[in-house]
Amino acid sequence: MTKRNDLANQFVEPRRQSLVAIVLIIYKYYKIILRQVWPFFLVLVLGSRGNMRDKWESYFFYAVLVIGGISMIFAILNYFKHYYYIENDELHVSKGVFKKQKISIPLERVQTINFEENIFHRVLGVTSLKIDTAGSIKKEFDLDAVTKNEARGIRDYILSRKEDLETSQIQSLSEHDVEGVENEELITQLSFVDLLKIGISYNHLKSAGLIIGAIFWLYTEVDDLFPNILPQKFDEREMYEAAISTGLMMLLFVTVFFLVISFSYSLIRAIIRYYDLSFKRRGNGFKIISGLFTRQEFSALDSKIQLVGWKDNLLQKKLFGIYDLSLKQAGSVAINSKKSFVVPGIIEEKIQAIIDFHFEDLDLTKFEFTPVSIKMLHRSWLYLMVLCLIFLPVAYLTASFRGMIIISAMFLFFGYTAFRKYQKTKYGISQDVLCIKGGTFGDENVLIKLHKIQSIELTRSPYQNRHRLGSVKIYTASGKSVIPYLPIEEAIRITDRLMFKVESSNKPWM
Amino acid sequence: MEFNFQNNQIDIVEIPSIGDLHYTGVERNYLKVRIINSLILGLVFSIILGSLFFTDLRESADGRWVYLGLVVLFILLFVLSLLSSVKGFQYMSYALRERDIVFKKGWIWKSQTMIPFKRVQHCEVNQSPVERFFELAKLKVYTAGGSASDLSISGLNPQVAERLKHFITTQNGNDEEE
Repeated sequence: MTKRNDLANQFVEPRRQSLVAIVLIIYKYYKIILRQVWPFFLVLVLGSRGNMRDKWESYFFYAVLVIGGISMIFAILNYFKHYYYIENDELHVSKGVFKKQKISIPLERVQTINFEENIFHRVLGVTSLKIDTAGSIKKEFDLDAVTKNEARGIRDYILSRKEDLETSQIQSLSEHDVEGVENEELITQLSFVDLLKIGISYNHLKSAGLIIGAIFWLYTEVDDLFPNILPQKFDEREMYEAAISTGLMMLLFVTVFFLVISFSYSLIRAIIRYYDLSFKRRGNGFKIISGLFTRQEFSALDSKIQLVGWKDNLLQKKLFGIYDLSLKQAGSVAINSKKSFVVPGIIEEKIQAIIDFHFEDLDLTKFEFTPVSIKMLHRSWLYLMVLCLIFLPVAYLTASFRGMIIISAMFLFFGYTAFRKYQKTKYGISQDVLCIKGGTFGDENVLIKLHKIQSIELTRSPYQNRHRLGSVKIYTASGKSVIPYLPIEEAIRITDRLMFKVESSNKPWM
Repeated sequence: MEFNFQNNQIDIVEIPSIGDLHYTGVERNYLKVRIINSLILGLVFSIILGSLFFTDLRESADGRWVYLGLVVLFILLFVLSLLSSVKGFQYMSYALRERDIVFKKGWIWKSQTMIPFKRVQHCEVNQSPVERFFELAKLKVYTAGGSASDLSISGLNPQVAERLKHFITTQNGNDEEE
């Protein structure tokens, strides 16, 4: 308790951020300005010529100088006018140069506190503090740069006070009983080998396939057109044939080249984002720290997590058995991609461990999964058949045998994909949790706590209506999930049950 | 713990079902609004076609075909819009329960949206000029689930809309106090 009092006293005095914050504020300003004016800059560089260009350039130079100077002054003033302190269980921030702003937030409304360090922060040994609140107030409480010790102090103090306040006010609303804030448990860590795995098993095939498909299509188009056009123009059939064989070589080369590029890109991306990633259980939430240049600390509280999903692709599944795990949180304002975090390279056991933490020992193996209606497959096949009936005659009329083969192969492939998709799509509902499975070659899984559902929509397309089917769309504060193609009675029953669960539960969704 | 879907503490028959609800249609006047909106669209189309008529589009043979194509396309769109105004109107209805509101719509693609009062963020009633003329109002119910999950019931009597809004917000408040 004395330690806490010390901490409390430490923050009562209004204080400024670390002095190096000036540098970071300037950096932030310049980034914002640059983001606004870069199209203008581009136009200037590319567009104007000659004398005009010189003239514009000098104007531009002065403009940059003036704007740069002003924002630097602003950054410095801003720094000196920016105070924060904690008093009466509220975090107070006062700031503003011309427009003074004094804001405060009760500590119990603070949802999460994240640290974020870009390369400058790391060089200067400070961290930025992002304080996320439940209300609509957005970034007002963020601090650009404080020393790491202080940041940790603030966070521990706020979180522990918050817990005290919450437990004194509400007896049983919280899903878990209070655990110590300091209580941390490492769930998993990514080694360099794991990063390599992530890089290798990234879905290169999909992107490579798309590009190769496009090239192949172009090639066949050329092949179809050129026999009529090219020889007349160039009078030389050999030239055309030579072009074809070099084209094939090119194709091979491009494929290999592309795979190398795609692999190195995803590997570098994985290293930059997920270097030295550690995934921890901390109090009533998860904490993820990762990144090479920018060390990002991401916290996800149980109460804020709306969806938990994990999926793999064919490579990840066959080669390494790893999944991409995503924790989707409700944003403070709207659905915000920054609020969801994807952690790649997680093995199945660890997923189970995470589920155990978040869903209170939910046993997925005891889940009973119900498949969706086979009509889903029938409809996909029907559409493919209709498309096929349109495309094949076209290919036939343009007298391209190869075209016909390619089109048939494509439709067979899509038909098979639809079959896989149908096979994989399943759902299960337990007392408190909804699980939806999907995927085509890999697997996709989504888990939703029933009381976190916001609204439900039951939809019927004309096809579904004819076959007495419906899809159930489940909306949460971080996106929707769909159980497609259910017999209408079943769809209604599920909707009723989910609505009942939401309405009879007293748990808050956030 | 049991995870079997059928094994509930509550008898499944006792769970109230959205299948057998009594739905209330929206005000008859709203059909007029929808038709007027379609007519406005038709008017816009006519203006576009009319102004195109005086350009040099019809001087070439190709241009005439393009013009004819546009005429056919616009007529089709107009008819479709008129048809969906009338047909769609018949399918718009809502039902209020103790704990949620259900809205049904859709002529070709049918949908039924349910929002528990507990999850309502806020409600608003608004009127467009045309709606005001016909004494109609629109009730919007927002959740945290994003715009796709929000409800918007057009063609309500303004008093009814206000009452609904009041009911929904007070129900919501009661729940929070529990």
